[in-house]
Amino acid sequence: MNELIAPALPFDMLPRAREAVRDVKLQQFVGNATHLKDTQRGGIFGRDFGNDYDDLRTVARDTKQYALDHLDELLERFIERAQASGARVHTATTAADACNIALEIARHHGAKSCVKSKSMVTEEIGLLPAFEAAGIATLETDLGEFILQIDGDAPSHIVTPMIHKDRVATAKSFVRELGARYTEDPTELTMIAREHMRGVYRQADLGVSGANFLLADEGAAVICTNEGNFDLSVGGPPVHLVFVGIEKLIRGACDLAPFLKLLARSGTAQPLTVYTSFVRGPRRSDEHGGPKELHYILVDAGRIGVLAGKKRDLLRCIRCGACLNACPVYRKVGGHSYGSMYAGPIGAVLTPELERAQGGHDAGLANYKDLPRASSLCGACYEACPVKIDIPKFLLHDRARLRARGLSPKSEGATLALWRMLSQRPVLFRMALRAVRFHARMLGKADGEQSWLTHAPGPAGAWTKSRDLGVATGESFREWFKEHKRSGGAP
Amino acid sequence: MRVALFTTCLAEALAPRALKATVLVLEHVGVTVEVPDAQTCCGQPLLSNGFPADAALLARRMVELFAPYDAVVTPSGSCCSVVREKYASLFPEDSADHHAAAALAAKTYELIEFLETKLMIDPATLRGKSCATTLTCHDACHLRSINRHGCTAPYLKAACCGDLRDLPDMAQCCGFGGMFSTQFPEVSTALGAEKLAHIASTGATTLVASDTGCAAHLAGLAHRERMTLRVISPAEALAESLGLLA
Amino acid sequence: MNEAFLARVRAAVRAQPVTVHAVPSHAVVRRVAVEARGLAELFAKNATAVGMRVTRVSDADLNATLLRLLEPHGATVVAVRDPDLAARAAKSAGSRLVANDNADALFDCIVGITDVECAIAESGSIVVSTTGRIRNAWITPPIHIAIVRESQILADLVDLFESRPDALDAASTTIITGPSKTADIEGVLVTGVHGPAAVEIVLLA
Repeated sequence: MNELIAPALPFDMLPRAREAVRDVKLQQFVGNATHLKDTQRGGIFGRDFGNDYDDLRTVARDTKQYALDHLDELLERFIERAQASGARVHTATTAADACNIALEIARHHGAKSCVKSKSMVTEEIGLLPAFEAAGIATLETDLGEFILQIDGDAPSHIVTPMIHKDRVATAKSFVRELGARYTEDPTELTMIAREHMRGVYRQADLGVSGANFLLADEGAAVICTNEGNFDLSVGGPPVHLVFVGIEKLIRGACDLAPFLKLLARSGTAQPLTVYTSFVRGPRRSDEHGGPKELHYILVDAGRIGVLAGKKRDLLRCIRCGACLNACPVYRKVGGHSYGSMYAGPIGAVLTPELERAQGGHDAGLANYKDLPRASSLCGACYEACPVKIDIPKFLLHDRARLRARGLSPKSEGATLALWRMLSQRPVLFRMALRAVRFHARMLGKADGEQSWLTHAPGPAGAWTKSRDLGVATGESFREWFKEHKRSGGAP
Repeated sequence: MRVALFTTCLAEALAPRALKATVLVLEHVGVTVEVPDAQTCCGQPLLSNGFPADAALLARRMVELFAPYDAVVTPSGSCCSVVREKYASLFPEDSADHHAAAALAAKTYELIEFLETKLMIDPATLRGKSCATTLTCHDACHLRSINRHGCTAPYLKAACCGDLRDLPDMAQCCGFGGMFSTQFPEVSTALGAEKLAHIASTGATTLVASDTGCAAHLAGLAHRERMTLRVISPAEALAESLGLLA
Repeated sequence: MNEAFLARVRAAVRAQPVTVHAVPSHAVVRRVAVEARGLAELFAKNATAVGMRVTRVSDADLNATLLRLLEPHGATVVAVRDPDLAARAAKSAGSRLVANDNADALFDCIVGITDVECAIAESGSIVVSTTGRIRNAWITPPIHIAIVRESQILADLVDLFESRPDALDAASTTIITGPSKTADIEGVLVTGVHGPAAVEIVLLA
């Protein structure tokens, strides 16, 4: 697995974040792209839904939550109906189980080559390395994922995986890996990739994809792409595998419209993705194309544990990427700083939770103790989320867990303990404020009613490492207010 | 109507002028303000950093302190949002504490919100002396949770507080985030620098920031970078324009 | 294997209280009323906005229009379910026509002509399925010509699921909303990545 999205644990975010902030190009690429997408998202919802936008999100939230609250029934119905359509359904408890099921199918068919459409869950379970180790040459067909694959890089955004890369890097890798002539023109680069992949589609033994939704009533999968690579991956090879997390289940096509209307608008400001493809079983007897075998591999990999826990809401996520685009921290640190294929606000809560559910006893937070702290709690993610996942609430929850388990820095804890003590004793609290004023007057540089500290003592020292601290050194508000009242309230 | 001022610890330490301005503006519109003496901190630093049980103790203090009042007003958007959006959730649903916290939440307001939605004061009636200052306004992100994000500038504009210019990309956080500012200092300051660049691009020399924390962060960064920028609260902007504060 | 898995899901579901007992009304999802007028205009406008080209012609002008669109191009596959339209499309394709019984041969075609199950005014989408049409005739060739009758236009995406669920009965159904697109390289929009760069809609009155 790529070290960028599957680092050695426990993972330390701070060094990566620090490096990213210094990376001028990353700042520019990620900053521009996320700002643009976020603005366009606001624009298209304003245009198409206006004041109904919030109600639409509420409908989507409750529809998905209903599905999670009844996931057992839906799963049972899906399995039954997908099988009735001629598909085979497998269940995988662990990432390794999921890979092994796929490897077994591949072995059975003597598959040597695979075309793969973009899928987060396959990144999560490490399917590609497993296939490579088994000698199955696998081609990522989503353009962004393809470029990352030939460059040995890793996705840094759920929807726009190569948001951190530019055309120059792409041009160089196309010359190096594909023997293409050097060009930086995005259209020409895309056409080079197109031609390269067309040859592979025609030969591949195996197609692999994820799914955006599973429809229980229809026993069908829904896959959304803009490039059309899914349709080619499923249309050519004789065997197709759909890897999908069980949280993708909804009741059926009757519940699909709100999600389709939210997904592409939230992710890329389109009314719908260019291709919204429904798969309902393998090729029929009267058909010439399509897979002869269709397999669903329903993946747990921690999801059942999340479902059983206090953070069930997280499974509502439809992977639109809107919270990444809206997040000030993601914009500055980029996706690779999160040490997971799920970056940004949703990743910060989902990664440790999935890890916990697989590792048992809160292993997750211990391995990712920076993630819950990597947020200014500004709430932009919650506001952008089409299914109203209250991400800040879960970040707070995780911060409390970290504290309770002694995984937060001790120095911080001491400062906060002092604060807690003072806050419950108003007289001491007032004295402390006076002491701060006094110190600032002694140590700082006077500037009218305030004093500037550049090297503050004690806990405030962390603040003044990066910025000055202006403390009001004149009359306190309480003194003023007493005087103000005595003089009859006149200014 | 008995109105209490919720001073907030940060404003008492760093921005007493914002509190004075709040009192003066409220008196200007005919509201007498009381200041419960024993108030300290609302508990946000504890809640945000993993001590919800301790934050609940402070929430209970706040509930008791403000029980006698009909409305609680504060110039600090972030602290206001904690009382409004977080307090009740610190207690088990259907507990007496939960209901009491919800009752406090229902009567707590950020100053501009109080003027606009509770007192329903047309900002045009707060029009003061014409003033040569060029300003721009950054709203506290936490105003999002009480549906007031982006409401400060239009109100101040209508009250004619100087030459108020739109701040590009106002929606992005300034990078303060409480202890986040020292936990991820590089990210925090990078966001602050971006905010300062946007402020500079407006040509404004005064920033109105609707939270004391954001104000201290941006003022501190500007001071370190030797950028000339006065940072004030919305209350001060109003009080200055009305001639209540020098 | 599946049984044990299901049992674990059942236990997990029961481990937390159910918070949503019934799916809420989806009324707010609909943007265009079923009885709305001017659906053909709305469809044409929205399909154009997402990058497809719409030519509105009378039924009598279909053949001439197809001929004009096909004129500069070569090998053409016809994947049209409606027998009448299929015959007319094949006639227009003439010597360019390639047999539609081989998925691999699609890779050598320049044009794929299809009819549609329905179209959606609200999003400017067309809906195709593998019922009576060779799969991916609308994806593999670089040009897709879709014949749409005005009477096939649904008001809203919601109507596809509410009034045309049969459209989803096929082994594969695709809602198409534009030409194949990517903006992966520096956000620059490029069309024709894997699917067609051009989608021509012939809208029959």
